[in-house]
Amino acid sequence: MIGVIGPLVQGKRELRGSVRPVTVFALGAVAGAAITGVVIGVLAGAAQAVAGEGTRAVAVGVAGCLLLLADLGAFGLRTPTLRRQTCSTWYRERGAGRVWAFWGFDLGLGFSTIRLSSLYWLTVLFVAAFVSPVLAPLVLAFYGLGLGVGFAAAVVAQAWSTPSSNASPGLGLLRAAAPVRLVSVAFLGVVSIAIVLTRGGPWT
Amino acid sequence: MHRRHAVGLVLRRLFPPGLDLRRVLRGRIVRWVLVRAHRDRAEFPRLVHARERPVTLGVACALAFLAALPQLCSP
Repeated sequence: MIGVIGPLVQGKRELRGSVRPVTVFALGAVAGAAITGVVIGVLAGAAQAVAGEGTRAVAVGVAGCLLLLADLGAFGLRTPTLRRQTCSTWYRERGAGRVWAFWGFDLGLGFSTIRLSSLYWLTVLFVAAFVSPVLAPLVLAFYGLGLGVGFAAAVVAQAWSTPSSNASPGLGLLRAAAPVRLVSVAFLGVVSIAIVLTRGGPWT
Repeated sequence: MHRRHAVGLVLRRLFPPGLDLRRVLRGRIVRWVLVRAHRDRAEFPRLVHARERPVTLGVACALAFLAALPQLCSP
């Protein structure tokens, strides 16, 4: 993500000029994520009308375990994702003023760009299964908020880091991808099991 | 022949305080719940799940927020 939307991170190292782009990016991400939330809300209405809570919990837990296997690459499975990145040329085509909203919206949609792990899909399933359809856009807005906060943290870290002439600023994050993915996969497994135990068992 | 679906549930007696109505309903979605001796008072599932909803909502929001963080390291 940082590798593609790099101009801010790679360019200026001052925080003052970064507030507006980061804010616009975060707002765009929240808007995109909320729109995805509307679609999920429609699916949630259908899913919650068809099956009882216990059935939904087991279904989400089983799906989570399958996603876990996919993330681990077991049985030739792979993380469900499009291989698309957001468009880096928008910076030139749309202009520096508007591009942050476009990038934020595109990445906030969630499904339209490459996924590092399946935690996002588990979130979608959880929302569809257990959250009121009306509140689904609000919940998904937190995904956009997470992108905005993470991006702001990356910009701050970049401003505080020692400048290096031969290293790309986004390189550190790309190098961290493998351990971050591992943590994400472990979390995915724990949450999947927890869903089944807390909502799908006969004792619940 | 049309299948019939329950739209309501009549409980045998007033449920004691603290009884988890979810256990009674076992996850079934019903339009309303009527309790004998209180037939004039319908309780909607919306109210039944009122206590549970904030926890579910909080978990969902936290999941959504956390799901965004790995994406920072995506290519």
